[in-house]
Amino acid sequence: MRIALIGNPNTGKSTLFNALTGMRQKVGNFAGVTVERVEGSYQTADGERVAVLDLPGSYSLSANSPDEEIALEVLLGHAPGIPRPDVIVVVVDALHIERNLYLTTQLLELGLPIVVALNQIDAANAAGVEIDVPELIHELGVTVVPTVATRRDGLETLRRAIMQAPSLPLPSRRFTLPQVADEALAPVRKLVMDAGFSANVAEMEALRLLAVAAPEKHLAHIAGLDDAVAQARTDLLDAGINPRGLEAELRYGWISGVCSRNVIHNPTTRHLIGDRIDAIALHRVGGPLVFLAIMGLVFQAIFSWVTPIADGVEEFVGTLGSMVGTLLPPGDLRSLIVDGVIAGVGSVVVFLPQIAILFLAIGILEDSGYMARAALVMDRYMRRVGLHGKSFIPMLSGFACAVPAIMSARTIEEPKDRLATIMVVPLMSCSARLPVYTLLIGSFVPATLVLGVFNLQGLTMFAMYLLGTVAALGVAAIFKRTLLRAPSRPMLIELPPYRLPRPSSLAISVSHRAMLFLKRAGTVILAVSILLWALATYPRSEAAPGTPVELAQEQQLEQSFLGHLGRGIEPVVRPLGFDWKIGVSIAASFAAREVFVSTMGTIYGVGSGDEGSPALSARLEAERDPVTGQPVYTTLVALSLMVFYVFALMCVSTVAITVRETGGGATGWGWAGLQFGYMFVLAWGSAFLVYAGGKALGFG
Amino acid sequence: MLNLIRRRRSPAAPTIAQTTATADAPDGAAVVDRAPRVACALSSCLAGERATVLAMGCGEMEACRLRTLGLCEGAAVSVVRTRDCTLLEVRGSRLAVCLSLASDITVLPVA
Repeated sequence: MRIALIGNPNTGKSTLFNALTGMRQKVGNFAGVTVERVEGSYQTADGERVAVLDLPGSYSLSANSPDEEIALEVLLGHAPGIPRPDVIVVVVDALHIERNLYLTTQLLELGLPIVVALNQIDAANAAGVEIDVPELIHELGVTVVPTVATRRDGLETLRRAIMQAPSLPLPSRRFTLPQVADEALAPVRKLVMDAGFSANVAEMEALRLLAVAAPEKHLAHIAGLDDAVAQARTDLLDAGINPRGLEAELRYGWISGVCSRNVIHNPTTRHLIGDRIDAIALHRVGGPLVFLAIMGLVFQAIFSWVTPIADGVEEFVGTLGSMVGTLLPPGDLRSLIVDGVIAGVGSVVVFLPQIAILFLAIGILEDSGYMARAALVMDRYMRRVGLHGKSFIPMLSGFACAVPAIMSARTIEEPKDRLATIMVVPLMSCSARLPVYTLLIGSFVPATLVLGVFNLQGLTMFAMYLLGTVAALGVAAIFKRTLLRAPSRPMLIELPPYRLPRPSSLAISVSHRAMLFLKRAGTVILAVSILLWALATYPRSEAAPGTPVELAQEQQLEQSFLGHLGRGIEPVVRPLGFDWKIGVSIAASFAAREVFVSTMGTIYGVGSGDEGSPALSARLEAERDPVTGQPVYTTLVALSLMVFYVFALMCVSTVAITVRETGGGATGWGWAGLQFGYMFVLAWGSAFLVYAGGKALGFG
Repeated sequence: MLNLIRRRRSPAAPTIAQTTATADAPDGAAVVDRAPRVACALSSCLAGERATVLAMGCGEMEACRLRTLGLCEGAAVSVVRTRDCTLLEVRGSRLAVCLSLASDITVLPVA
């Protein structure tokens, strides 16, 4: 048996899915978080396996967003590769039952068995909402099971109801159309039925089409449908009925009657605390200040509090490399495992704690209900560059890692806003740039005091982050005024009630994202690490006996394919003040930006390439151009290099995720190519301006 | 008569409201007299005010979104906050609607 789980956002649908299947999956409180196709299964007491498909959070079947369109296609059996479900489980938030029943009334008309999970019944009761469940069953004509997914209450009853649902009479429309509407919609119904849809579905579609802008993909092929809908609208207008609002009027009219008979709202103070928090969180001045304070805490957590854990992971990776190194005999295999696999993948895995903390912070903000408020507060500022308030979440996440940040752009409904956000997210300085900045600032920017308070090194670091952020906003403004020109959709967002985040939900959310990150590290980054190792190792060069190890390493690298690649790159990077060794490091860092530091370490033969290594800093400062005898690394070159890294898309994982999130195939590669191209031009141009401008002004 | 004097907060004029500008407020905002229970834009409702939705003058797509969220013709709404955006309660849920969108929704305040 196959069942589909559907419900409004913030109904606890994902929690119910986890409780039913035991599968770990993202749970959030921000509208539209459940956007991935997630499936799981469970076994009944009779041994039957039930496949569960968790559909995206949907307010209706009106296809107002890509998520709702996907849900509609799946439920109609028109989604490619996904069979039509045998039973629909509608998750209804008991506290917001009136709004939630709108989707339910649409689902009743799909001609599929339905079970309603009346979830969060405990929260509803606590808020003074009492629901007459037996009467509700009678009114809806389907089984209604009160549940508390977080406590697994009602789960067994729900499972039994799901198994029994196919044997019950199919649900149907619970209200009747006015005669004039019924007659006006008859031609539309006929066209839909002639296209192979059932009478039930044709009824639902005909009414639904009155309100939507145009028939969606699954109906677009029906010849004459547009004209029939237009004629129906005209007929209704002539009869004094607003066709666009007819569906909502009829459904909510029926729902209001059901709720007035079966739902009692006892007066409580449930909104008082939330209103008091909102008075500050949404205040014109206080709102941005609260937002900044929270962001400050998040950054503090990512960059400071997590350091001991990150150091521990780094030490573990180092120890693992040493252990494996001692176990394997010297040779190519040991080099591949230790220098290629462990060093390559390890250099990325050390950022796992930061990624986990970022998602923990995002999870807390979502589950507490603050994220929707933050989007609202930021909307005013984001609109100035043509973006939506929801764009700020991916941009903020971009400070940790562009990959999950780009994935989180799925919450933006308007496709062009989503694309513009994806295109600029990699400009936000991610945590992988931190080692590069740390190495170069530590080596070439003096730790002098500015205005007696600020450290110049800290200010330079801040300037790099600011540069990326300003560029991201500027480029977004350009995209939104040119290639992705479209009116932004007005801000309209549901503000969920404030709730205390549940540790179990947060744990599932963080572990789910951490596993995704590790999976990527174990696939794409592993493959690139092995490739880079091979390029740096072959062809082998034999060092003369007695050659110091460091010199032998440098000679090996110079003779390797990677060395030749560096020489090939040199003409491109020379105008920026970089030599071939920097060129090699830049090329190698395409696997992951932080690889730049370890590659520099390898090139200069100073061991681990730790950015804090005084040996590497000293080696860089001492490096001389063999032709001119001048220092290769000056403050100007370091600045040019940092500016290059602020803008350049040196990250294969980001390219891969952009391809996937922008539609995949040729379209996806097109957007990813454009992203890589414009960022490279921006990086090269800016670094050139810094270097050439600095030289012209007499610096460096 | 004090309760009949309302500061107009939205730049968009109410579509059905029978409002008359009578004076300029000290901060430059127009002051209007409005008879009780006269239709006006949702954006000009004050915090704490209750109203019934009469008409949606916004684009089709936005109207469709609003209606599915429960903000449809005939719906009873309570305005919770009015600064920068209109925060309202409709069918037990809280919705934040930007002022430009709220100014396209015509409501009838409930006395």
